[in-house]
Amino acid sequence: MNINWQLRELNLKIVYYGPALSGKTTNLEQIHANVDPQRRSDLVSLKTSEDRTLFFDFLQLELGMICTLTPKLHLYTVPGQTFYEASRRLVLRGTDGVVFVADSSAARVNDNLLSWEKMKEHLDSFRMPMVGLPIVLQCNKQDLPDAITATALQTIMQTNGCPFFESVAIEGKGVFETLKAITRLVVEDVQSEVA
Amino acid sequence: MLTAVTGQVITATGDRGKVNLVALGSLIAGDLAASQEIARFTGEYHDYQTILREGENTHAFISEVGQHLILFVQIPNDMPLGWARLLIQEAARKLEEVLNTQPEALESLDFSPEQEKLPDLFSSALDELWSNSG
Repeated sequence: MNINWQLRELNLKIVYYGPALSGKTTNLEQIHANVDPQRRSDLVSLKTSEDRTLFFDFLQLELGMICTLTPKLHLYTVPGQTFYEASRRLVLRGTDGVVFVADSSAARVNDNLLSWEKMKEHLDSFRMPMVGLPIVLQCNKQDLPDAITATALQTIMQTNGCPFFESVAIEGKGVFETLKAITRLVVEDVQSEVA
Repeated sequence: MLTAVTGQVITATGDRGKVNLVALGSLIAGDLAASQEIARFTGEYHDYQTILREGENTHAFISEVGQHLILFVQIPNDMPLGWARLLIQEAARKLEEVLNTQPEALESLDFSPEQEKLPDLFSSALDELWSNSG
C-alpha cells in the first residue's frame, strides 16, 4: 500500500499468480476490455515472440473517490512458465494481495500445487508470510471436460480457507467476482494495518 | 520521475511529451528489480545501483533511492554521462536522507475498522467501473 498525500491517491498492488497457461493474462485482458476506458491505463504486456508472458502484464484501475482519497488498483500478472521462477518472485515484491489462478483440469493438479508452494517460498523470502496475506483462489477453465470443482480443488490445495471462485476467464465468467473479492480482502487488511 | 519500487508513480517533472507515466512507472520498477536480481545472482549487488540506457537523442538513468523508491532521469545526449551519473546518485542519496527523516504529522486516515462500510464502498466503486464500460 502506498498513499500519495500530494495527489491524494491510495495505491494498492494485486498480483495474479499461478501455473503456466492458467489464465492470468486473460483475467487482465477481460478486465481491460470491460471497464470504463477513462478509468484504466493501457494494458502493458512484456511478452515473448510466442505471445507468452516474459516478465509481467500490468493494468491500473482508478476508482471513484473514497474517504477523500482516489484508490488505484495496480494489477500485475507473473510469467507462468517454469523457467521464469526468478521473475515471478520479483513481481510479488510489495504486493497487497494475490489472486491465485489455478487450472481446473484434473491433469494439472500437481502444477497448481507446485506453483502454490513456490509462491509460499517467494513470499517467505520477502518476509511476507502467506498466512495473513489476502489471497483469493480462482479455479479457472471450468469449461474443460476434465475440470474438477472449485470445492474439490481448494480441498486438494489446502488453501487455508481463502475465498474461491469458479471461472471461465476467456468468456469473462468469474473475472469480476474474483477482482471484487480480492479488493475487499485487501481493503479489510489495509484497515487492520492502519488501525 | 520518482516511483515506488512497486511501480506506483509518486511525482514527475520536466518535459513528459506523450509518455504514459503509469505504464512507464511499472516498467521502471520491473527493470530495476530485474537488474538488482541479476546483480545478486552474479554477486555484484551494492546499494544505490544505477542502470544506464543509452539512446540516440537521450539517455536514461534508473537509480535506487533506498529500499522503497526509484529515481528515473532522462537527459539529453550532449550531457556528459559521468557527470550526470554523479549528480543522479547524489540526488538519490539526498532523497533517501529526506525519506529517513521523521515526517511531519500527517492527517489521519479514517480507515479504522469501525468504518465497516469501507469494503462495501470499494465494491460499489468497482461495480460502477465495470458497468460504465462500453
